[in-house]
Amino acid sequence: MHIPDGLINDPRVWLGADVVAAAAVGYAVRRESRRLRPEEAPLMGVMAAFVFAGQMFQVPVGAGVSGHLLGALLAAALLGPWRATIVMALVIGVQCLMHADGGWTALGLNIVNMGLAGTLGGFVVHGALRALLPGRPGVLVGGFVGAWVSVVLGAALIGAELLLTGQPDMAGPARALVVAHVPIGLLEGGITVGALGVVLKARPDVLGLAATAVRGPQPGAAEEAR
Amino acid sequence: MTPPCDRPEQAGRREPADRVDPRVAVVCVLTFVTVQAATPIEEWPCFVAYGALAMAAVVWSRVSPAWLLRRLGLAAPLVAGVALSVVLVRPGPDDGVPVPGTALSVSGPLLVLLGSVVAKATLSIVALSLPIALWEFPLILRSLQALRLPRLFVMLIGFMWRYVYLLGDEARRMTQARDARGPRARLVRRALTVGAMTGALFIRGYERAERVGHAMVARGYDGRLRLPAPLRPFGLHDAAVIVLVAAALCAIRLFGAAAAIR
Repeated sequence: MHIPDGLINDPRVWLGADVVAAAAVGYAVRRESRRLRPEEAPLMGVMAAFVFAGQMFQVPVGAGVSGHLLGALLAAALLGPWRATIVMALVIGVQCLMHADGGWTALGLNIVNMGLAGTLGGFVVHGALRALLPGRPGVLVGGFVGAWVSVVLGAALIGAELLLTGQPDMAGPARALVVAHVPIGLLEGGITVGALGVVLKARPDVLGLAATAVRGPQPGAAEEAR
Repeated sequence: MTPPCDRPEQAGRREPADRVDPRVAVVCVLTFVTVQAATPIEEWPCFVAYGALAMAAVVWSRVSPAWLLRRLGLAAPLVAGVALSVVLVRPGPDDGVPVPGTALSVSGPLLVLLGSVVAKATLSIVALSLPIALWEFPLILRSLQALRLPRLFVMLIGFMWRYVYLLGDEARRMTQARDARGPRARLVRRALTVGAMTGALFIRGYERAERVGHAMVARGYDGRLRLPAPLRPFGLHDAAVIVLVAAALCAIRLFGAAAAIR
């Protein structure tokens, strides 16, 4: 899903995406710089490393094709939308600069499609479902639906960007892209639910739920998780 | 499987790096990458000049060519993706380009797009590899801080760099364990298994971060960023290098655009 340099040629489109991405990330950095307690600083860095490493897990789909986690919604569910926005922007930026995974002029596009679509777009759905269904079911259902929405929304955004470039015959590829991401979103949802299930068992306090069984709730953990 | 970032410490030799300030290198490389990425492929003579400029920098830096070639391999999936679309999309009525030796033809605009993606990705990788090879990571972080990247970002990049290998190795071990012992399950089960592995990886990372965070606070960390990598004062010749590179890029664009029209 990484967009390379030169694919979306219209400067109005990629510069527009740069502006949107810069505004969202800039707001997130301002907001979280004030709220981040000193001992939480390593946490966010480790979470960026976690998203990076988590994307290394491959799910074999068959016929030699495999998929991997995008992680934007998972990060948002675990860290809150704004911190996840910073983490995803960082991961996508490093992938672009160190791995040439996605172009430098397309960085804004990629942050919008793969970061904001999940950390803000998918998270709205996730948050609504968690409010409707309190406790564990809300986390799991919200995780699945939110992750699916984040992937399909990301694909729809790429489709819209292709259409906005004004090149002819882009409607077909754009529609195909969204259709192809409907099952990919299910895969993302499955991985996200699996991950949230483990976190619910081991550290429910991270998700703002009371701990059960062995481990007692940690002081300050509830507001830390948000 | 590729590691999240390959360790480049042994890749470059030291001598050229001692003569240039890492801040200058970061600014020059980012300028180069931005300008070349924003150049439309129609002005193709520019890319010849960019290539020459990049080659000159590589020769100057004495970075090992084998390491650079391995880094170029990183672009393979991206290029493969676009190449696939060249093969799959049927050409329109008047933009087909015949494939030599066969009766087939491929879409001309998509072929140009493929060339553009390959050229830009190659130039980006070569340019961005140089500072990573030449300077130790703390010096690059220090440069980013000096160039006014928000404190939070500098901090996060530092922690990320520190822990990405650790978690990457952890992920590799978990994958190995799954492949060795996990059953060949159906797709849903496989996705949930990877999910559980991701969750376990998160818990390990999270608890490590908590420990590290509390230990840092116990040692007097107050959220301020102190990087033990001193920079020389920014001199006139440092500014001159930046101006020179910017002028060269401007000249290339002007000349290339003119050459393309002719």
